[in-house]
Amino acid sequence: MNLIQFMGAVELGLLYGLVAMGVWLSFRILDFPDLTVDGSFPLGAAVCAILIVSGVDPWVATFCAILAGMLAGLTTAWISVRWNILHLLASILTMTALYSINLRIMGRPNIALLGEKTIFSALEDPALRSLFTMPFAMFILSGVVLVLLYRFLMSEKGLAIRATGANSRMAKAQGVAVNRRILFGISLSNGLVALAGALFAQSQGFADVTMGVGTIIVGLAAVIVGEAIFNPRIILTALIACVFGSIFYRLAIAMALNAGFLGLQASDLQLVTAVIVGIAMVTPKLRAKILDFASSGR
Amino acid sequence: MIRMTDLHVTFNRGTAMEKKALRGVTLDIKKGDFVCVIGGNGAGKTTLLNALCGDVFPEKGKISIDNKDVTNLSTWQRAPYVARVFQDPMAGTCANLTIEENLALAMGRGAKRTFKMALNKEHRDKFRAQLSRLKLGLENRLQDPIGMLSGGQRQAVSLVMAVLRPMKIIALDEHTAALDPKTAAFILELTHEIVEEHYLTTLMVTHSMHQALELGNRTLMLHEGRVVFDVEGEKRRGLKVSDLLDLFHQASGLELDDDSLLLS
Repeated sequence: MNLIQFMGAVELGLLYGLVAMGVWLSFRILDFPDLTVDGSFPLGAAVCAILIVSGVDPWVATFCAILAGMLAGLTTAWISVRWNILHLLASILTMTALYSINLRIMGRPNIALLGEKTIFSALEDPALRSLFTMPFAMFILSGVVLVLLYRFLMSEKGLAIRATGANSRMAKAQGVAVNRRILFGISLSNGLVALAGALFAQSQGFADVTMGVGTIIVGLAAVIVGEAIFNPRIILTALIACVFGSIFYRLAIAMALNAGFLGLQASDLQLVTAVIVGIAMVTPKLRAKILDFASSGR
Repeated sequence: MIRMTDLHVTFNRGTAMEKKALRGVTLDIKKGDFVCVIGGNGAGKTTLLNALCGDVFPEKGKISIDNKDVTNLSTWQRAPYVARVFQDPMAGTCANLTIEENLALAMGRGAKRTFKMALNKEHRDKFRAQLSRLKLGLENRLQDPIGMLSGGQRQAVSLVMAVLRPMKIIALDEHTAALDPKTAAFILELTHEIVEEHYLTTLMVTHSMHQALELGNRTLMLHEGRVVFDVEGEKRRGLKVSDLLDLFHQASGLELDDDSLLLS
């Protein structure tokens, strides 16, 4: 792996760190496995791209993408909470619908943003342009989001969301409107993912209707890899673990695809991802089993 | 004053599993009353408490707190009026939140939750002061996850959490049943202290006839979803467990054979 590939992996890792934080919020904090993200990632990209090519300011377009993502999350949470539908099924419903909606929004399967003004346009100045510019910009963006999200989770409202996911019966007894907390939490989660989609479209120069496939697994992979490395006990480390887990995961993917002897090609990405996540999920159980075996063998 | 009028609760209505948990319970709890509710398994004690807290809605009847009709309010909407300690120490606290975060959550019971930091120095000082009275050393462990505490310690913290904010009534749901005898005695003593100190109105469900006579000023027995007797004041003073069994016999015409009630 050369430096260009390395920095590219870091940049993507930081971008998908946003997805990881969103997935962590739904899976770990709210205990609400949410697959909507496979639809809200391209939704963010689609909304942002169509607005940019229509001449809207890229910052406004990015903001609209976040709102669209939040609306998608709200839909899933509402179906689940209001009609008592299993969260996984509710999210699959929304995700499926979003495929058509994204096509409608874009009016075609993909939109190119080459030459359009994006939030990264200012960085194209030759004086600034280097291998490190985009990774650094992504670092700042995900850093800001991380700090804001951390601050929110430590607030009175944030604490109520954390209690909702951890022990909803207790949360209710403490006066927390748990259903509203779920609606808001899942909206926020999908808002983050849509933001990642919008940034992806602007940094990679396109939006495509199929770009969301596997987003949930990539996000989950980052969360699990981060947890395996950092073993986080507090919220701040958990958030940092999401971002670094995402970077490490990207590097692992880049290495796997670059290892010539494996004979893998770019299209094997999803397979490699699934294998990495599978290994990460099985390892702790396998380790426990081996330790168990070793201790009982004495 | 808490007023429950002709409460009826039926589970699994219209099925073979139909169970009439409450069949017309009427109960007035005056301000400052400490009511102990006893009864065998399935007598409706916990259902009565759940109806008060909003976990169960009656199909008939009315509940009002200080003349405000709360019959149709859900659990979280009633939280400003009703504080609760659960039977299961796991249920009343959030295991993976820290001790101080659990307390902070309880500080917000019935108040509007804002974007302000949930914890600050003022809160921590208050929590330390409240926890130090327990003499469990918890005031130095504010940042430990509450899941690291024993069941008894968690129940003690639950009691402290319950009284962080004003309320109209505290509902104790067999809150010592899951503890060993020594810890249970400690929690009961603590309950007594806290109730006296804050002059709380209390509804305590218990399995133990001894507890039901020792604590509080009023004893209520439920049987098959009805109040079979309700004693307080002079009449209650000097009553023994055997007297309770007689009272039950007179009121229901049945011999009490439920072992769980005799375990006291």
